[in-house]
Amino acid sequence: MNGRLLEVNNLQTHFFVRRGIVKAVDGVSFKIDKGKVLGLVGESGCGKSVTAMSILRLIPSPPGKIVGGEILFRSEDESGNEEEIDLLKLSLIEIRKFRGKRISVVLQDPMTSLNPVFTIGNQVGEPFRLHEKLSGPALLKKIIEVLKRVRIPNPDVRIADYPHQFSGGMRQRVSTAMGISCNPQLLIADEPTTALDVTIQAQLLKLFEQVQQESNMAIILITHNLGIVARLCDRVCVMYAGRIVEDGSVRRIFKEPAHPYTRALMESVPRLGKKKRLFSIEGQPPNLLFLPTGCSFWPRCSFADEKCKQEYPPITSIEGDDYVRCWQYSGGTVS
Amino acid sequence: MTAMSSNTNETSLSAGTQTRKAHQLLTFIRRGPTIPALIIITVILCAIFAPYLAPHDPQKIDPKARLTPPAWSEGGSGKYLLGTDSTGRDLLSRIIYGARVSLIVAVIGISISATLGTILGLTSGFFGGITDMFIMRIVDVMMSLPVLFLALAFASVIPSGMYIIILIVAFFGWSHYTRITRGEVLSLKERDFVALARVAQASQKRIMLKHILPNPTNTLTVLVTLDVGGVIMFEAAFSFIGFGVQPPTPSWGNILSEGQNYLTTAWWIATFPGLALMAMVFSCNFIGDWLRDALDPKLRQL
Repeated sequence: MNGRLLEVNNLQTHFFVRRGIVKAVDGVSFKIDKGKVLGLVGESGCGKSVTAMSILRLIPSPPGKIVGGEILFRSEDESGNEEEIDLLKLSLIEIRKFRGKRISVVLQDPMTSLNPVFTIGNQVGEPFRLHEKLSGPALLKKIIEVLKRVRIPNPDVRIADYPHQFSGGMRQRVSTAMGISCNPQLLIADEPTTALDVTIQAQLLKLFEQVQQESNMAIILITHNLGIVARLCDRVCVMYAGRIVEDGSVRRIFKEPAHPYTRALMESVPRLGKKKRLFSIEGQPPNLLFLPTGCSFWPRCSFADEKCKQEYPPITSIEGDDYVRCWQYSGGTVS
Repeated sequence: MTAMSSNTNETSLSAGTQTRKAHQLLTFIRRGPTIPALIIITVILCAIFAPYLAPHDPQKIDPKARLTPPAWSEGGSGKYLLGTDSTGRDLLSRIIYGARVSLIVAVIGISISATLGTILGLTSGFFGGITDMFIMRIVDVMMSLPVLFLALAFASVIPSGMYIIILIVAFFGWSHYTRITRGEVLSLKERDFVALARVAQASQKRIMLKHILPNPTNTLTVLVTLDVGGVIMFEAAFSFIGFGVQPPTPSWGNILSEGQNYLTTAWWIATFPGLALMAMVFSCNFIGDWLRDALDPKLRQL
């Protein structure tokens, strides 16, 4: 039976810049169960990556600061007892034990996530060297093993190659290898396929699926590609302007999206065979320095009324664990 | 990082990869600039084995053989291959001994300035903030100083000699290493591989030294080789105007300086040390160019 792995409650990450406070993440809550895949979708700049980096405690400070909330991570200690730890309460030394080993990450751009001056064997070995203190033939065996897991052909030869000798897709595989090297319980994949072309994307998604099934790790998948969400995820959180506006199972969200923003997103996906002009959401995402009062989506929402402009809608449960933040569902003032 | 990579290499490589590596190394050397490399090796050997290579004592005066032209020209003598100077000292021996001064100044002076400059640049770029501002303002000051003028001021206060040139090179040379390292570190520390290293539990020190520092090394190596030429020129110029290395100790600069009075009558005195100087600086620049390509892993595979 799968239990809860990570619970984020009311996470607030703000950036203190000269012109004011950017509330990049402002009260985000979500949960993820062991071995499940959670999709985090939303427009550029809505706080997806900042949420992910907050979990890893990799927010550049200054200017960034996690000002509130808790990130509860449930894991087994050495003796097999379950313990729940608030990652935000750990010191920077303690968090190192979690990062890379229990929570790991694959980043967007394989061009910059590999160090150009070292062979990939050397880089993939770094987590083993530091977390598991391996060296020599044991280290080598582990490196080849993990490269095999991400389906890199001839790993024993390729291990001595430099990143530029790999294609983009292969580099992202190497990157993934680094991410999964220590068998993390949670892998954060920050737009892992955005920098790749479609055929390579498909290959990489397959790889993610395989790796996830093999090792039963939970994945937080950050993307703005709804197709990827539909294929890989169990649950989806839709983010808008630093908040989660809708959280639900993939099946429900694709079948009957609740929040107007989610609905608009679904409309904006091109479909084969439909000869209609593609829908696009009017306007632009709000400037996080000057958020509109009330619901941050109202200036672009076709259902907005007076109440939406005054107050941010509360969390309204709709179906099971699913919730939405929209006045349409709470109070029912909007028709 | 050398320990790390050799570690993986030794244990990892199958026989095939090892031959490939050896092959790569061979092509790498074959593509090197042969003539400049030979010139530099010759100069280094001359500096080290000067007492064995020099046909005469560089300071021994032979009044009867004053201003003897080189052996192949009219009036030359087989005893003095490149001729003699105004007091009859053997020019070839003096040039061979002069290489010592040039090389010692270049090697020691640049080691100090490059090391210091790189450490400061790395610190400055990596930590940013006040540290960065402080170090960079000092660099600005250093770069705005008129080097030759201040060097002269130094030399007039402290008794001149070889060490003063080393001191000046070290003192004035570090700032551009700092600037270049800082610039590269600023862009490197934002790259994802640094975040990933952090995820892999690497400490600040390890990230700085093992993940970031190897990246600018090829730029720095090129800078060093170019600097070698510059410093040798500086030493020559400094000795030429009478500070720095004092006669009768030979240095390329002060031989040139003595030779300038005889340019019309004894052309060889200024010409040969000048040629040696030119060949050395030229070779250093060539080697620097080659190293830049050779050290870049992107070009290494070809």
